[in-house]
Amino acid sequence: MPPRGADDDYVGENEAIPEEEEDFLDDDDSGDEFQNLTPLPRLGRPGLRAKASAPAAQAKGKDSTKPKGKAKDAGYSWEATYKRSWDNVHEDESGSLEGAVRQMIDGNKRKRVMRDVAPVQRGIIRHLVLLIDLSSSMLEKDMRPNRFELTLQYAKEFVNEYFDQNPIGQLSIVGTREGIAERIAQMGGNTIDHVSALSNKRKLEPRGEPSLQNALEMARSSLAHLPASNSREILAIFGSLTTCDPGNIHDTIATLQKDQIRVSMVSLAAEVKILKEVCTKTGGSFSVALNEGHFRDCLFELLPPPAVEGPKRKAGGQADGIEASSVVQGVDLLQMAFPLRLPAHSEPTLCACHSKLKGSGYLCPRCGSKVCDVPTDCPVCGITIVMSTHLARSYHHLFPVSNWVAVGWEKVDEKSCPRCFSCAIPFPEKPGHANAAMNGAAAGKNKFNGTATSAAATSAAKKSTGAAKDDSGLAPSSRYACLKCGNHFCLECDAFVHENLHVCPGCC
Amino acid sequence: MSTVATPSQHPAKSIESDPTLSFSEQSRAAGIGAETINDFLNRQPRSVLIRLYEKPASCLAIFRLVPMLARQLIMQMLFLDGPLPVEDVLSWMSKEGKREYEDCVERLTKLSILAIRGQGIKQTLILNGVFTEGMRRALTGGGDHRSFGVPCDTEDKNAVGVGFLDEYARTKWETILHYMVGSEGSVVPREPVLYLLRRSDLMKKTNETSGGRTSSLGITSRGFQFLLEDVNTQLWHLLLQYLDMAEERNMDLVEVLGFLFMLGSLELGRDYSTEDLPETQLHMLEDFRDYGLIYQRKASSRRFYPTRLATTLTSNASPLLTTTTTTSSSGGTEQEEERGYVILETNYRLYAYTSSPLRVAVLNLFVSLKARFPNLVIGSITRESVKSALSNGISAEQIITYLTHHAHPQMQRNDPLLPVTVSDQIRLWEREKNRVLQESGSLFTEFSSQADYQQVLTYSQQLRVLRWNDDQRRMIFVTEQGNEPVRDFIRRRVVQS
Amino acid sequence: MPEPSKAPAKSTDVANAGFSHLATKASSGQASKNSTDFLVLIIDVNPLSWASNFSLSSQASIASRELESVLDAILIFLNAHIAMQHENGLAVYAASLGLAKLLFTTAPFASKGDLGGSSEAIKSKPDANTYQHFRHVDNAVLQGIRKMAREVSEKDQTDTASNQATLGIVSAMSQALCQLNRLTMTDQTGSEQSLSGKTPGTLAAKSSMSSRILILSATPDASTQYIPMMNCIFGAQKKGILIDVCKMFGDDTVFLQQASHLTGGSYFRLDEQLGLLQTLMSAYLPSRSIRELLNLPNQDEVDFRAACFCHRKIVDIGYVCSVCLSLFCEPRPQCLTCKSKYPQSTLERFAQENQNRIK
Repeated sequence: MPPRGADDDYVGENEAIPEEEEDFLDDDDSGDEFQNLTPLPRLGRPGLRAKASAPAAQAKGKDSTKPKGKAKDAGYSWEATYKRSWDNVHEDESGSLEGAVRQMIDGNKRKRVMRDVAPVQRGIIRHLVLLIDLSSSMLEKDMRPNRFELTLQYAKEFVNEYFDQNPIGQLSIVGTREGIAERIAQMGGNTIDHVSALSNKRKLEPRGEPSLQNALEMARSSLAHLPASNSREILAIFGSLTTCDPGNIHDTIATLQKDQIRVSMVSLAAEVKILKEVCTKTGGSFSVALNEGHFRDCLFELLPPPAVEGPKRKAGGQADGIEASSVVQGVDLLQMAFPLRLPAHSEPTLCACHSKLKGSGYLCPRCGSKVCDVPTDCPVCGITIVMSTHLARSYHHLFPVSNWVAVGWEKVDEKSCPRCFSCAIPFPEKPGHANAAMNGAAAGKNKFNGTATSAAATSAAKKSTGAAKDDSGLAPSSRYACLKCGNHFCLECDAFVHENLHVCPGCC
Repeated sequence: MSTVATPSQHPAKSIESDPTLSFSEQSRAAGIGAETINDFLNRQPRSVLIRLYEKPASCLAIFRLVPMLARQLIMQMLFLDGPLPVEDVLSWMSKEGKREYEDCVERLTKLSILAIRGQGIKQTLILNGVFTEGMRRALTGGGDHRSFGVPCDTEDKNAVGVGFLDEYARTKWETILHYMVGSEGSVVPREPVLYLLRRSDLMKKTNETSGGRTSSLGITSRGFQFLLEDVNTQLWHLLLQYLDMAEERNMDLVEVLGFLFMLGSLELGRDYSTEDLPETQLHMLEDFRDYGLIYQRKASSRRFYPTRLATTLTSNASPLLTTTTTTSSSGGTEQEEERGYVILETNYRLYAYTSSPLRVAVLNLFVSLKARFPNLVIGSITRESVKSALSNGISAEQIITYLTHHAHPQMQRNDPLLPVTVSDQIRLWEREKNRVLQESGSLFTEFSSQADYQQVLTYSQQLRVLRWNDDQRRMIFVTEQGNEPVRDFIRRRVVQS
Repeated sequence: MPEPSKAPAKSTDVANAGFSHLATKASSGQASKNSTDFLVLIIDVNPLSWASNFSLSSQASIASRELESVLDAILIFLNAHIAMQHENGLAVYAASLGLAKLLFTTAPFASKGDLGGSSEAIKSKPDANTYQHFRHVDNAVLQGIRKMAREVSEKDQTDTASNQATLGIVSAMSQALCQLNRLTMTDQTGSEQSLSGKTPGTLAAKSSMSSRILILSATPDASTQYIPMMNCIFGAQKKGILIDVCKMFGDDTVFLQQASHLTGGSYFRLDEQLGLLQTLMSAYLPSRSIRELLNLPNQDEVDFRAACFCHRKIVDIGYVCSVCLSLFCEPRPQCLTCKSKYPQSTLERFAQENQNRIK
């Protein structure tokens, strides 16, 4: 064997051989199967920013992968190219990332604010059953620390928020494991009971197989006897892909439909056809949680009172378009009593609910018995006792603040106020050059429809070349105008007013 | 198991909580800062305080020094015309407030603001007339006391801006601190400043054989403690020393204090005239130029500008702003940088986002620095570094207070602020120094019989000089003073038997 | 090994080494005692109510109820608030017919461009006899109110009577809440606040700026303002902001009573004999940190009953429409607001019960 010479001997000095020719034996790439495949769809960033319709869109996307004929075109998710999240972040001139980060934060805020605010009839008095899967599949660790712990934590937060937004609603919690369903908390209006029941982890050890039918039946039993004016709902958190039922689940679905109980589900594992069917047939929503943040968002979608569907199953029936002939579901006149509040230093008497000797309490106006907490049903005469503030808390669902419109630069002139109307923070100055590239419909094009997919992948670099808004919905002038009173507000006030305050400072 | 000996110092107590100790004991007990302006004012005789209250600016400044409940009490009584019965006031307080109320009343009487008349049930509280007048005047404005600083009538040809003033103040102040730390290339401050440093026991004369500087000073342990305090405390420390000196130099204390309080109420960036200032105050102007409190173009200039150090004398705002800011979008970012820059982790690592050489020098006192970047300094708190700081006279409490004061705003989310492991460990290292307590005395051994041993034991116990004894081996240890009597006792017994 | 016979090591010393977090809590408790206070003052300058009150009280002793003299007292109160602590923040709103204006604020982010003409004040020389912070506030408030009075009188001549019903107080409250929201937001350092993450209690506790709203009210309630007012109250409740109310004259306002009760503030009705300044100083000056040490005036019986939508009379037992939650004093076949018809069975049931009761 000839001794191995230096590598230089093999390559001529003046022959610049391109690398491709050396590496491959073929002259063309016809035999390369990998390169011949169509490029896989670039999955965006569905996790953090998807809205309610997005999981539906995702679910549809997954549906389409199932038929084999389309496998090549759609591609499996594990074949997708690796998501490089750092590509979204661009440095500005000075090398600082602060601008890009701020863009993302503001974009988040704006997305949260935009939601459907058409005034619809909503079921204000709600009875919700929270159904938690306690099977062994909840011990999976794909969500930190495991699905079970995370579910309990979110359930506690859900309970708190639920009573905050629906003070006259009631909640009950049911769990399912080992093929049977168990009641974790009775239907009631007391936050503390529910939270303490959820905190008792020892009693809620997940094991065995879940049973969807048993759980639905148990939930139905506590909801069926309620009057039609109350909105009856079941919210299920399901982590398993199987269920162990004693009978035919379709019978249960039929009974649920008959009783007008709305079932919504959040699945932690994958989309299961029967779960989806339960939800769509009863008129609820179905979503699959992609990660912890998305799980939380899906869960909290159901906090605001749901829109009551008209008799033709159209979403969002108008409140004043009722035909005279038919009685519309859920409309009823309820009798409620407003108590007299006794301060703490009044004479101690026994309360009717616990038989405790206390000074403070509320007096039922019809029978005069003292109860400790409102809202509640009077234990003596059965009338619903609420404070007017509880009713007032739900008003913002019925009369929501209209969404504010992002203002483009063309609307800003010398007459417009230089600072935010409510918090007095100064707005940025209008740049000198007039941008003719703005489309006039910019102010009108906004996220009201809620069907746009998240465009966060492209929105990071803010284009200052004169687009009226970015895809993320931010206004380049940082002004947001209320359509009724015409005042300009800043992004922070926008988020605050629409999420917490529900009052436009200029309109009242 | 070895028992831990009690440390020879008391654990640090907040000064406010123990007013019975004299100020020097308090300062030693606290180990953090010497007496405060509160104690100084408490020491003054009533006549001085009354004269002080004639100026509304001083009233306002002293008002801000008393505790919150006392301020509320003063405000309530300010616009009343007559004395206020005590029982009315007590009915105003809730149960928890009663104790605070007692403290406040005591505080106010010491400052001669409040007086209690009458006995028993019929006690009434009455505010000092001069103070009332001054405070009312401060709130409503007007009058002709001119105690809030006389602005200049004419325009300044060489007007300076706020940025320049901040820079000036910072340079001057850090000169002093740099000199104390002993960083190379530091400018030596002027003689009056050095005198002040020496007098306040922050630095002392060392015998330098090398070099030629005859008046070189070395830092003391009090000086090290001084370095770890925040700027407000440091400033007041020096000013209090100045006040002490003022009495020696025959300057009227009231005028000095009045001028100080007036400085605290001035507006930043505005020039004030030096006309009509009494001799004392003109003198003080000169001295304060060295500390960076005011800026005057020349010593004979007719106008002066207060710097931020002066305007924040009576408030808790941060007196120094650093010049290195990333985004100057609002003053907020600058302030944050000044307030906190230290991040402490549970693995004893320290990250300090600063580039000021002064701060790095201060950190170097008790942290072993590992890496230095343009805007970041990394180090870790080790046993050796803390031990060296302790040997310089810094206490663990001061280190912990310094870290807490200068903690980065992101650390505020932790509860408690500093990791418990680190703060406990620093205290334990301090205790290691005090593990053993020494006391000299004499040991008596080799008793011939148990009876002898017992006698000497009881005798020394009666004399209360016994420190330790061992029954099996018959050993007795007595203090130094007890040495003589016990020895005499034994000799007498020996003579007898 | 010889053991020292002196007193054994104090257990507190050993314990102190390990339980240092207790010590820091105590010191942080000390610090929180002096936490800065941000006060938002809303002055009701509705000229109608001031004028009607002045004409009603013609005795000389009540001359103190004129707007001018009341303003003096208010200015001293504001100065006192700033004097209490150097870092105390202040914002003043004036609420009049249908509009509310920000007169002055110490919030760091606010632009001070066209606020009450204070720009001229800054340029002018400071007065040697007045503390300059006080001077800024006083000037801004006085000029702002004068300007507002001028504007309102001009507007009134061209406006119809319909505008008289709308009060500016709710607008002022909502603006104040927005500003406080931004203030507490800038106080939180750095990280993005996920609104759904933390409970509002922790948010309020961790910000070092504790805020409260003081309303000096002179006008009775307006029923159209019920919903916006309640929304503001709930927003304040969530953020942990106290609402205090001082009713200078006029009838009791139920809405404001509920506001102060729900948020934990104090409601006080100023009697004829009491001086405004003294009341303000005693009851409304204490900041959050010392409020628990004092007994502040409070309303005991708060009327939580609602008024029916049809006759505006207070009802004990009402009938609520399940669609729009409007309240009626007696059953009716159709809702007034949403025009939804009620099922016949329900109406019959109620009629039966009423008959039984009458019998």
